Amino acid sequence: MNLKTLFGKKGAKTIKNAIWREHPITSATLGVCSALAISNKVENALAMSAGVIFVLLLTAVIISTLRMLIPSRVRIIIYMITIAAGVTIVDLALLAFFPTISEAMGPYVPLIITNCMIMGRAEAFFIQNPPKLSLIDALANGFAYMYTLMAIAIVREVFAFGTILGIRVTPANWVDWVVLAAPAGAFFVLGIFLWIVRTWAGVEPPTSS
Amino acid sequence: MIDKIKMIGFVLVFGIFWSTALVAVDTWTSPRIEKYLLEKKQKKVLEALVIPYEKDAVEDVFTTNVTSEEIDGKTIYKAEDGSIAFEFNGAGSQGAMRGVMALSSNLEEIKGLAIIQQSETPGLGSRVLESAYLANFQDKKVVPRLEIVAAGTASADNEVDAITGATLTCVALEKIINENAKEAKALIGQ
Repeated sequence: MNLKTLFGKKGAKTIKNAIWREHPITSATLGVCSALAISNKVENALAMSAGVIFVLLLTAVIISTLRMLIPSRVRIIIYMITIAAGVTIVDLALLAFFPTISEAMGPYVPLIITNCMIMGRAEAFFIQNPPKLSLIDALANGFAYMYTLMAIAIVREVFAFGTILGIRVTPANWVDWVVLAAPAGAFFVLGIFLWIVRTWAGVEPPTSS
Repeated sequence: MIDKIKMIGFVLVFGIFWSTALVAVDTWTSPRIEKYLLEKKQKKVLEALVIPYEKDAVEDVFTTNVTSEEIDGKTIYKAEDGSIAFEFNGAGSQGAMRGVMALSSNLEEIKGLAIIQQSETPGLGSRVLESAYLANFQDKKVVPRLEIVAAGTASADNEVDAITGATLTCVALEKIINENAKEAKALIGQ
C-alpha cells in the first residue's frame, strides 16, 4: 500500500507524523491521563479509543469547516463546546445501547472532554487545515492513540488478569500480578513503552528551562 | 465593535446549534437509559431478596413477587414471605458503595446483599463484593450486631469470615451493614 497515492503527499506526511514521529502519546505526551486510566483491559481500551476517535473526527470536521469563521479570540471556547457536546453524545449513546461498557468506563467517558490530545489537535491542526486533511489527521491520531492503548492494555490484561478480551491465555497455575491492574501498574507499563518507542523513533525529550 | 458583535453572535449561534443537538440526542436516548437503570435496580433487589429470575424477564418477576412502599422518603421493597429490602449508601475503603440489602421479616437476619456500585481495589477489596462471598451473609444475625471476623474463625450466627487482604473493605462493609440494619429497624419498627 502506498500512502502517497491514497492520501496525497501532504496526507501521507500527516499520517506518518501522527502515528510515529509526532505520536500524540509518546512524543507529545498528550492524552496520557486516559491512557493510564483505561488501559487495564483490552475491551475497555477499545471502547475508549472508539469514543476518542469519534469525538476527534467530529471536532476535525466542525473546526476545520468553520476555521475561517471562528473568531480567533473565542476559538478555545468553540473547541470546548464542540468536544463537550461530542462527548455527551458518546456518553448517552453508550449508556443507552452498551450499558455494560458504559459502566466499566465509569467517569472516564465524560473525561474525554479533558483529553488534551483532542484539544491539542484542534489547536495545532484542525484550525489551520482544510477538512479533508484534518480528517486524515484525526483518523491517524486516533489510530495512534488506539494502538498505544491496545499495546498497554494487552500487557496489563495478560499479566494482571491472565486473559485477553476475557479469554484465558495463561496456564491454570498463573498468579495474577495485581499491581498491573492498579493505577500504579499503568505508570510502569506506559513508562517502559515511552522509553522503547522514543529511543526507537529518536524523539528527543523536551528540555525544561 | 462590529468584531465583538460578530464574536458574540458566532458563539451564540454555535451554542444554540449544539444545545439543540444535545436535547435531540437526550430525548432519543433517555427512555432506554431510564429503562436500563430501573431494570438494574430491580435486578439487584431480586438478588438481595434471593428471588431467582431469568435475564429477560426481570420486570415480570419483580412485579409479581415484590411490592414497594415509601416510608419517610425511603423505598422499602417487600417480598411475599415478609422479608424486606432497601437501598443503602455508604463509604467503602476507596469511595462510595451503593447496593441493596435484604432483611428477614423480623429484621434480625440478613436475607441477602447485592452491590450496585463500588470502587474498591480491583482483585483485593473487590472480592468482598462478589456474589459468591456475599452469599456467606445469608441468615446471619444483625442483632446485636454483625461481626466480620478474621478468616476461618467465624462460629457464632452473627459472624462471617473476612477475606485476607481485603481488611479495609470488610471493615467498611461491616459498618454499612450494621448502620443500615439499625436504621431500617428504626424506620419500620415505628
